[in-house]
Amino acid sequence: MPVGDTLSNLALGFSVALQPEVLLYALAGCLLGTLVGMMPGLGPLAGISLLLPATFGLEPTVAIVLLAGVYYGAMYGGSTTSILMRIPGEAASVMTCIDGYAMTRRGRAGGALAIAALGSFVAGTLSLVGLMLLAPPLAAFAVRMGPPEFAALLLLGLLLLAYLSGGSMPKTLSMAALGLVLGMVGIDTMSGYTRFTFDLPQLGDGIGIVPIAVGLFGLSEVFLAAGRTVRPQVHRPRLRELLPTGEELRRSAGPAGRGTLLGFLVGILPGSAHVISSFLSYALERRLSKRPGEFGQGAVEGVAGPESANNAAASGAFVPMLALGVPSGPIPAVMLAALLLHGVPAGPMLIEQQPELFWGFIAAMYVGNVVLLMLNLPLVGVFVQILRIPYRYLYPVILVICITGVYAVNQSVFEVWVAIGFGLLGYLLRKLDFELAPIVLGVILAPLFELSVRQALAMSGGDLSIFWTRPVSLGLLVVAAALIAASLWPVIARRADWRDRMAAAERGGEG
Amino acid sequence: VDRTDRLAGAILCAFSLWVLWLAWPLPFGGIRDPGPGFLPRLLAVLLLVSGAIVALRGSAAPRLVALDWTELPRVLAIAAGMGFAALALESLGFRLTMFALLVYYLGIVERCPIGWVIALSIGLPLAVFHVIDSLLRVPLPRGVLGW
Repeated sequence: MPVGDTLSNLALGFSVALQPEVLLYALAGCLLGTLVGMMPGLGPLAGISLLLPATFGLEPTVAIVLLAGVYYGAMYGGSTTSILMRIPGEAASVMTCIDGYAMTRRGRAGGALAIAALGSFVAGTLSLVGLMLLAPPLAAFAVRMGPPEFAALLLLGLLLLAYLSGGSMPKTLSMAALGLVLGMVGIDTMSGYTRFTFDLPQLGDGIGIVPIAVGLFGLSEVFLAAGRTVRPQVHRPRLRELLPTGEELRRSAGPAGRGTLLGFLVGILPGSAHVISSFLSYALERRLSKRPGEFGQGAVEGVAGPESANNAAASGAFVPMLALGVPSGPIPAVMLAALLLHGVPAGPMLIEQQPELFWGFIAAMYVGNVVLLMLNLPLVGVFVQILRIPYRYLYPVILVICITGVYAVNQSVFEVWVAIGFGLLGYLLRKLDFELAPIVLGVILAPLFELSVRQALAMSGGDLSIFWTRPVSLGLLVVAAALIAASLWPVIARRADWRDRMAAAERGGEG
Repeated sequence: VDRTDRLAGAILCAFSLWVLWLAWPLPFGGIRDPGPGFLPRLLAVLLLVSGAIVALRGSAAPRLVALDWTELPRVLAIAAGMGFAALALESLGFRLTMFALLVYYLGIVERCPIGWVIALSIGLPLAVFHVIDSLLRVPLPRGVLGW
C-alpha cells in the first residue's frame, strides 16, 4: 500500500477515534484495563470477556476500541503490581518482577514505574506502525488463500502454540486437542448433525467462548487464591519520585527499542506471545549488557526491555487477527468473537469492507497509548490503594462481576453453570501444571479448522497431496514439521531447552 | 498413578476414549467426503496419544501427595455459592440473588465485619444492576418479585 494511501487511511481513522464518544470509551477501556491488569484473578482475558456483554449496545468500532483499551491497559497495569509487590498482575509481567521489585527495594520504585510506562508507550506506539504497515498487505495476500492453505495455517498455529507456550509440549498439545474437541460441540454446519450435545438445546450452537474464558482464567484464579489471608505489603511511591534519572533513561533506550522489535515479531506468532516476548527480551538484554551481574539486583534494562516487548507483542497479536481472521492467542480470539457478535465478518476482507473500523481501531490505539501514559503515572497512588484491599473483600466482587458478565452475553443461566464447570476444571488443570490458553484457542479455531480440512479434501477428491502441491500450504507444513523436529530434539539429545530455562527464570521471578 | 502427570494422562486417555465412543455413531464419511464424525474421531485419537505420552513421561512430575490442597474446602464453598446463584438468578432476580451471595461470601465464608457485609451486599448489586441493566441496557433478571 503506498504511503499516501496509508496516511489518508490513518487520517480517516483519527476522524473516527477523535470523536468524543470513541475517545471516552478508549479512556474508560484504558482505566478499566489498568485495574484489571493489577488485580490477581482478573487478567486481560477475563477482563475483556467480562466487558463483552457491556459492548452489545455500542457501535462495533466503539466496542472494539473499548476492548482493545482494556487489553492495552492491562499490559500497563500488570507491571505496577510486579514492581511494587513482586506479584505479576498478569503473566507477561513475570520478568518485570525480578528487576522491577529489586529497584523498589533500592528506593527506585518511581523510576521503575516511569521506565515501564515510557517503555510501554514507545513500544505500543512503534508497534502500531508495524501493525498498520503489515496488516493490509497480509490481508490482500490472504484473500488468495484457499481451504488447504487455511488448514495448514491453523495446524501450524496450533503447533506453534504448543511449542511456544512454555510448558511441556505433549501437555500443551493435549490441551489444544481438548479445546478442538470442545469446539466440535454443537451442530455441524456442513451436514446438520448435532454432536456431543446430550440433547441440550443450549449446546446447539456450541459452548460459548465467554463462559469458557471466564471460567478458565477468572474463576480458576479466584479458586487458586482462595484462603489468601496475608495483607499485601505495597510500597507507595511519591509523585516526585516518578521521574527517571538521566542515567536510567539513557540505559533504557536500547532495551526499549530492541524489546519493541522483538515483541512485535513474536506477537504475530501464536502462543503466549506477550509472555515469551518479555522472557526473550530479558534474556537478550542480560546477554548484551556490559553489567550482567546487575540483573536481578535492579537493572533498569530488565524493566525497560520486557515491558516494551510485552506491549509490542500485544499489537503484533492483532496482525493475524485483523488480516487473516485467525487469532494468535486467547485474547485476540475473544476480541474476534466480539467482532462476530457485532455482526462484523472477521477475515481478510475486514480491512477492505470496514475501513472505518480497522483504521479507527489503529488510531484509537495511538490515542490509548497517550492516555495511558498521561493517566497511569499520576494515578499510581490511587491504584496502590486498590492493591491494599484484602483479597477476602475483593474476590466476592470479582465473582459477582463474573456471574453478571457470563449471564448477560445470552441471558443464559446455563452459561453460568458452564463457567462454574470450567472454573473448577481450570483450577484442577492449573494444580496439575497444564496450560489453559490452548483450550480457548482450540475452541475458537475448531470450526474453521474442520471446515478448511473438509473443504480441502472435498476439493481434491480425497487426494491428500493438495496440502503439499500448493506452495503456500507446503511452506506452512514444512515449518510445522521443523517445529515438531525442534521440539523432539531436546528429548532425543536429553538436554534442557528454552522452556526449562524460562520455567527456571519464572520461578526466580515469583519466588 | 502416584505422580500428577500420570494421573492427568490417564484421565485424558479415559476422556478421549469416551469422546471416541460418543463420536462412533456419527458418519465418518471417507477421505473424499469427510463426515461429521471424521475430525472428532481423529482429534480423540490425538488426545489419546498425547494423554498417553503425558502419562508415560510422568515419572519426573511431582508426587500426588506433594500437592497442597489446603484451599480446597474454601474452593468448594465458593463454588457452592456460585451454584446457588445460578439456581436462584432467574427466580429470585439479580439483586436479591447477589445480595444473598455476598452475605454468604463476606459474612459466612470470610467472616468480615458486619458493617462491610451490609454495605457491600446492598451497594454492589444495586450498582452493578444500574450500570448493566439501566445504563448499558443489557437486561438482567428481575425474578418473581420484580427484583
